[in-house]
Amino acid sequence: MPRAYYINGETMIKVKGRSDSEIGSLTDLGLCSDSISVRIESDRKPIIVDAYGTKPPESQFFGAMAAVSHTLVHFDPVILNVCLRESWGSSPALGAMGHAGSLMGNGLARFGPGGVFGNHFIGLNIISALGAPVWRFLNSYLADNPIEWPLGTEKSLVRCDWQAVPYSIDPWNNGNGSYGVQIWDQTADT
Amino acid sequence: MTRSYYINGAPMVYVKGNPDTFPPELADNQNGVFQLGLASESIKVTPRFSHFDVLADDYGPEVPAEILWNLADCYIQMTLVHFDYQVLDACIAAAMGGGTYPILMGAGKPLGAGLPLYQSGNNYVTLFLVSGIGSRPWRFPACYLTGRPLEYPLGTEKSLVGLQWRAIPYSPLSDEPGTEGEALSNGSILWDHTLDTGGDNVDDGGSEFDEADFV
Repeated sequence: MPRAYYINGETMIKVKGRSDSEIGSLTDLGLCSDSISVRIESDRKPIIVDAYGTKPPESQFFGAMAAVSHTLVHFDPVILNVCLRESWGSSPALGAMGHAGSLMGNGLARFGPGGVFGNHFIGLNIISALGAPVWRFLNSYLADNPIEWPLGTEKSLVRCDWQAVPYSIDPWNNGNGSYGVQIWDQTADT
Repeated sequence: MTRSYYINGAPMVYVKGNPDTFPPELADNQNGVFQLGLASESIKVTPRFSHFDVLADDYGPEVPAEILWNLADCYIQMTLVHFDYQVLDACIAAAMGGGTYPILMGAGKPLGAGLPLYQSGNNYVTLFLVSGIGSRPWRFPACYLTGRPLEYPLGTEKSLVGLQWRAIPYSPLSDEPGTEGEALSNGSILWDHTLDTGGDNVDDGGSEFDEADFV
């Protein structure tokens, strides 16, 4: 493939979640005021050998996850609220907490129904209008400080921070462990 | 064989015991083996060798003239994070003398009773540590949960269950002519690297199957 400037173009964020939730089908979340930031985070452990002093001659890969940040300017607040509730695991209503210690995936396949005990991970789809490759983060949630929502006379620019993790139904994965577990790919949900 | 970094990979812990405590019809494969679970960190295997000093007057009072080998046991420590609690209950019941969980059997009840492994009345549990990336497996034929056998945190966070196993070189009482009924240590197995699920605790190549039966 030849070199070129990489221009993603105007981008719509779409989400899809638990099949018995309000985002059971692929739904527009919204447009952003500026670029969407995708940061891949991976962990390694060095193998230290005395013969090499303090620098490792070899290292081991120990998994990865992704962090996606964006600022919504033209968005559906109802859908954002649904994403927030799903990200809290078993939240029964907007602003209400679920059980402390709730699992997100609950051992179910993507979008698995089950209400409070369904799969609460969200498929985060970043779709370009110019045909640039899609970014799909298969198992995501609004993380840590999930949103920052300014309220005033000026339009609200809502900052969102997502994390995408290598979820699998069975971590043993028939002996494969984390091998082959997808964090992101370039095929949009349908 | 060349040197390399030794990376075992995440091991799956399997167990097998007598059919009273581990019903074969509920097992995870046709050899009566049950998946116990996955650990949150590395599993630690610590053998403990026993040697006895033989003193001779000519060597003085402290330095031995000879050493006697007095067998060994082995401690296996693990912290389970993704596990089958009913299989764990069966392991606990076996360690408590083989009754129905959580009932304790009477004090002084022998765990092996001189019987072959996996026979009703023998409550040792075989522990298998099977690597997902094909590193050599570990088999401890005769184990039991020991000491403070488990630490089971109960709360909103996932339970990380700490287990301590002890493996001993158990052999059933001899049925060889001339030594009938004797407990003989020579040739007994403390650990090996096969997946033999035969009950005689002798690696005779029987009942062996490959790692595909575990994964």
